Amino acid sequence: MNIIVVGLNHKTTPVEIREKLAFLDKDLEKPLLQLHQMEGILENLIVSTCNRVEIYSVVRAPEEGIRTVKTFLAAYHQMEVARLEEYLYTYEGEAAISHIFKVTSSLDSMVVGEPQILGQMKMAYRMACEGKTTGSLLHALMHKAFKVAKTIRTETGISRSAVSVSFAAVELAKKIFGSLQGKHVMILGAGEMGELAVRHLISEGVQGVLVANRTYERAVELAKAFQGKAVAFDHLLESLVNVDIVISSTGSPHYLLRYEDIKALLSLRKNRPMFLIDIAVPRNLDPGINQLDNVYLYDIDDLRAVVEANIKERSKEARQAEEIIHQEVLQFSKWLKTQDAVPTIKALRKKIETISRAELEKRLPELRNLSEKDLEKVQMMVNLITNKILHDPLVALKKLSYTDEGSLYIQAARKLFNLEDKD
Amino acid sequence: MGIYMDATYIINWLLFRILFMVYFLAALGYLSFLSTKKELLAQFATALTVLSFTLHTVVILFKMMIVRVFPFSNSRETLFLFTWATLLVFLVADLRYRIPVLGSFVMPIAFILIIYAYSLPEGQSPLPSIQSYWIGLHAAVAILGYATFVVASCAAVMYLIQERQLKSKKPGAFYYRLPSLEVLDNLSYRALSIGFPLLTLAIIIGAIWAGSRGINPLSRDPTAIFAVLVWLIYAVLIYARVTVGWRGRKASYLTILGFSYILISFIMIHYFSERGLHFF
Repeated sequence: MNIIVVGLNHKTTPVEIREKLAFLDKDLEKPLLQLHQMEGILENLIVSTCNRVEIYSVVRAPEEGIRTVKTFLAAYHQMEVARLEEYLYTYEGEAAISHIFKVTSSLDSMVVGEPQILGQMKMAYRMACEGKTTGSLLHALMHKAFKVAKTIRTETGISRSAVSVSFAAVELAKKIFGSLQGKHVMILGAGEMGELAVRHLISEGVQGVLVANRTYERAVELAKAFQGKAVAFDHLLESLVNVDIVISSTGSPHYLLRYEDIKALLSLRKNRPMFLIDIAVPRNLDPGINQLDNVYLYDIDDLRAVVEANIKERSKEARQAEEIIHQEVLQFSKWLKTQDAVPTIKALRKKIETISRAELEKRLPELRNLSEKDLEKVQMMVNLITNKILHDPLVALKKLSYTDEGSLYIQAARKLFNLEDKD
Repeated sequence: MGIYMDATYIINWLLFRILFMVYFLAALGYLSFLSTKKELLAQFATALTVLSFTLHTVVILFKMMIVRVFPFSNSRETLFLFTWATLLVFLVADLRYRIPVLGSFVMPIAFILIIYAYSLPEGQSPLPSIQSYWIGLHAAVAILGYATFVVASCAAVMYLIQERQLKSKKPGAFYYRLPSLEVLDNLSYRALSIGFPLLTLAIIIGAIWAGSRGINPLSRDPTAIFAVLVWLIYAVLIYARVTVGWRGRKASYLTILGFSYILISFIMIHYFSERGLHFF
C-alpha cells in the first residue's frame, strides 16, 4: 500500500493548461469512479482549484500507480501523456504525505497562509467520500492533514499579517492606535479600496464615519452605507479635529491637505496621533505631512511595501511550519508502517527462520552421526514445516490488509508473534 | 560563633551565585524571545523572572535578619535593592499590560545592575546619624520611584523604535515584535505618573530630615542635586502632557534623559559624594 501524488499547480503550469486539466466540482463523481476502477488504484481523491489540480491515490505499487494516474488524466482531458508530463510533478511515500500536509496548511499556495485552501481540501475529501473512492488510509491521511493545518494556523504566524492593501491599512492603524474602538475615520472621495478599508475599520470597532466628496449628494449616499455623516468639502478642516484616520482617494490633481493644515490641527487635537492613508494617484495629501510628530502618512506604494514585508515575514513563519510538518510526517509514516502488511510479513518470516536456524545449529553436534544427505533432509523438513505453518497466516494477512479491519489483523499478528518495531 | 559566621558566609555566597544565574537566564530567555518570537520562551523567561524576584526577596530578608545588613547601608546594598524594586515594578507592569517584549529591555538592564552592584565593595557602615526610620522611608520611596522610571524609560525606548519603524514605512524586525504605539505610550506615562509622586515624597522627606538637623540638603551632594534635576524633567513632562497633551518622540527622549540622570547619579554616589549626605 503506497500513497502517491500526481498533479500540477500555478508554479509549474500556466493558466491556459491548468484550465484544460481542471475538474469541475459538481462533476467529480465520474472521474473519481473512473480512476478508482483502474488497475492498481485502491483509493483516490481529486483536488481541483484555480491554482492546482492534484490527484492523491493509494496504490498497490507506486511506479505503476503513477503511470496509471497519468494515463487517466491524459485520457480524461484528451491530451497526450507526453505533453502532460512536462507540467506534472509526482510524489510517493513520505514525500507524498509531506506534500499533502503542506498543501492543506497553505504552505504551497500562491499567498502562504491563505485561508481558502483548507475549505477546498475538505470539499474535495467530502466528494471522494461520497463517491466511495476513499478508504482507511486516505481517511486517516486527510484527517491528519486537517489537524496539522489547524495546528500550524494557531501556532505559527503564517496567516497573521495582512497581505492585501486594505487589510494592511487596518493593521497599521492598530499598530498606531492599539484598539480602534471608538475611533473616527473620514473618507475623502470614493473608491473600492478606500471603502473596503473603511468597512474593515468598522468591523474593528471604529465608530464615527465621516464622508466628504466634491459632490455633496454622493457623500450623503456613501455616508448612509456606513451609517455615518456627510461633510461638505469646504468644511473639511473643521471636521478633521476629531478624526483619527483619514482615507483619501479622490481624483483631485492638487493636494487636499497640506503640512500646515495638519500642523494646525495637532494642537487642537491635543497631540493625539493621526493616521492618513493616501491611495490616490496623483496623491491627495502633501507627503511633507509625514514629518509631523505623531502623524503617520502612507501612500499606496507605502502600503504595498508593507504587504511585501508581511509576505516575507510569513515565509519566515513558514519555516517553522515546515518543521512542524516534518515531525508530523515522521509520526504518520511510523503509524503507516504498522498498518502495512509487507513489513509485518517480512518480520514474521524472518523471526521463524531465525528460530528454526538457531535450533538446528544447537542440535548439530548431536546429529554428528548422520550423513550429509540426511542432514540436508533434516534441514529441508524443518523448512517445509515452518513454511507450511506460515503459509495460511501470511496469505490471510496479505489479503486482509486491503480491507478496513486489515490493520487489526496486522496489529494482532505483531502482538501474537511479539514482533518488535525496530524502526 | 566562628562556625555560625562561616555557615552564613557560605549560604550568602551560594545564594548570590544562584541569584545571578537566574537573572542571567531570565534576561537570556527574553532576548531569545525577542529574536525568535517563540511565545514559549517568553513564558519561560517570565517564570524565571518571578523566581529571580522571589530569590532576591529571600536574600534581602536573609541579609536583614540574619547577617544584619541594612539594605541602604552602602551603595552596593542600595543598588541591590534598586534592582529588586525594578523587578517588582516590571512584574506589576507585566501583569497589567502583558507585554512580554518589555522583558527583553528591562531584564538585561536588571542583570547589568545586579552585576554592577556586586562589583562594588562590601559593606562600610554609614555614619551613625544616618541610621533612622525616616532615612529608611526616604530611601525606600526614592528607590521605588526610580525603579518605575526604569520601566517608563524602557517603554519609551520601545516607543521610539516602533515610531521609527512606522515613520520610515519599512517594517523591520521590531515592527513585528513591538506592541502598538498607544500601549507603549500608556505604559510609559502610567509608570511616570506613579513614580513622580513617589520621588516628590522622597525629596520632601529627605529635605525635612536634613532641615531638622540644620543641614543644607543640596550642599555638595550630587545624588540630591541629580534627584532634583530628575524631578524637574519629569515635572515638565507630566505638566506638558496634562495641559497640551504633549507626547510622542520628543517626550520619549525626555523620559530617557531623566533616566540617564538617574544612572549617572548612581555612579556619582560611589565616587564623588564624600562631603554630601549620600555618602556610601
